[in-house]
Amino acid sequence: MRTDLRPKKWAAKYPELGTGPIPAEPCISPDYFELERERVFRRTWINVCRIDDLPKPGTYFVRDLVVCKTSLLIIRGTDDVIRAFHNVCSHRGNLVSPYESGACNTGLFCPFHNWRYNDRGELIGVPDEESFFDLDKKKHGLTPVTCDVWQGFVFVNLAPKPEQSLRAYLGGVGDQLEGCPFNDMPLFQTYKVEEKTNWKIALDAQNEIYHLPFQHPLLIGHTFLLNEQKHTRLLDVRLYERHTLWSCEFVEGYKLAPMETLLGKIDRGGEGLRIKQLVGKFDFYVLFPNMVIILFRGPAEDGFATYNFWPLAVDRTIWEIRYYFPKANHVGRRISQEFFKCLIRDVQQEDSIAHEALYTGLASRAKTHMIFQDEEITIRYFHKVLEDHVGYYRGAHAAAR
Amino acid sequence: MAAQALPAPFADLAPHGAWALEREAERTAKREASTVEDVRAFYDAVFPRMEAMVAHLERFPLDALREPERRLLWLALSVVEVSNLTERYRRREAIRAVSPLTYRSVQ
Ligand code: FES
Ligand SMILES: [Fe+2]
Repeated sequence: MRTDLRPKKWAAKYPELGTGPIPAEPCISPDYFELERERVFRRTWINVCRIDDLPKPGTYFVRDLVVCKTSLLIIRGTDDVIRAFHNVCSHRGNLVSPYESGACNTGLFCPFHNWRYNDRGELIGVPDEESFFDLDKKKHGLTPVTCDVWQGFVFVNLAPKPEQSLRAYLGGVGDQLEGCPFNDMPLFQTYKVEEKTNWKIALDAQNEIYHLPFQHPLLIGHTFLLNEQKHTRLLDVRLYERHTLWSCEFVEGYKLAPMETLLGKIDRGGEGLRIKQLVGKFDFYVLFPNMVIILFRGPAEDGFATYNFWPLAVDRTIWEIRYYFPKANHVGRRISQEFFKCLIRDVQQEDSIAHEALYTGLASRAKTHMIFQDEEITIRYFHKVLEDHVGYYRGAHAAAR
Repeated sequence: MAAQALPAPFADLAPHGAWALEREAERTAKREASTVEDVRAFYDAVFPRMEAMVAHLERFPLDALREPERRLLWLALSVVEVSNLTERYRRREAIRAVSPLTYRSVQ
């Protein structure tokens, strides 16, 4: 497959999406944010961690899900089953674990009065139990949350009864990525960027490559495939039931920086671990609502990255970035991985500035709408899927659209 | 002082030993606390030696490097840390594009 450099291909592929402007209000409205909380984050499957965060049976990981106003305990039991619970004590509601992660093979102790839970969330110990009244410990385990694991990614669904299984929810993306060697690529680095922006603005700003020559001219402005007028062109776009994929290629033979030339000499490559179903050199999946999986094909071997955009408030977001590479088998490879990570990190620092400036601009209400071009079609689709869940414009605000 | 030593063939890089930092967050903090001139001097001194440094390090298993070799690897990783600044930006403002308080390296 080769990149077709002509314009306006994607609207032709997905004509039902339309080409009109998109309202800015959902990105700045506190009302919209409240609806997202109820109708998106409390009803869909949310990726909370990876198996890397639960390195062996009898360990746990805590995910503060601020948008759902809760903290979650993800436990890999000594039986090797992964379960999720609200991190909330049955006694008086204290947070059971104040830590980000830890071991729980001997149980979890609430720090307030030392109530003890086992690795299946069951209440197994109450100090001074005889002073309580008719306390049936069996009825007072941790409150479970629906949890499932796909390819080592742990997801939860806060709905009392999720409408779909995780696998059905992932749909075509699940099919496409079946068999990817994610589990052979350990976590290499995590960043958390706290931004004064709406979570969708940050996600949207990552969900296109139109901006690369302009926002990142010195770092990666010339590495992604461009047409003759120096504009980016996607290799492929796929819109799934609610998720999206875009894919692109790199320019062959672009001018290398001195460090890249050096890496060409010192990096003998890895074990050659490849991700088979790769569409292009750089595949960007958005898993609705707030997760991104990026697969990248390096000269020597493949790797992947994930983003999770964690809404804190309508104007506050944590952008969590993680890189995963096959374990380096020699020094040259290790240095090469560091280079790639630092390059993308510096690109993301430039992005972070944009995420905040975009929010400031939209929050001024000087503009009521955003305009999207054909190569930004996955953003257009994301906002459609979001509004299908939220229904803001189906209700009292129908006229405002 | 011995704990600070680099392998003998690279003893001349000792004036840049302060860049031999284990964690990325430390290397980033060092870059951000430096002037462009400091960063440039470090890069100009160590980058030309990188190939020899890697050739030296390749003689040892990556996950069992001795202390001087570990420090040599960290020095190499610091060259990578600053290379976007010296090779691409070449500008002062790039030293600190985003506050390190907001861009938090977790591992
Ligand atoms: S609140 Fe947890 S033991 Fe009292
Ligand atoms: Fe960007």
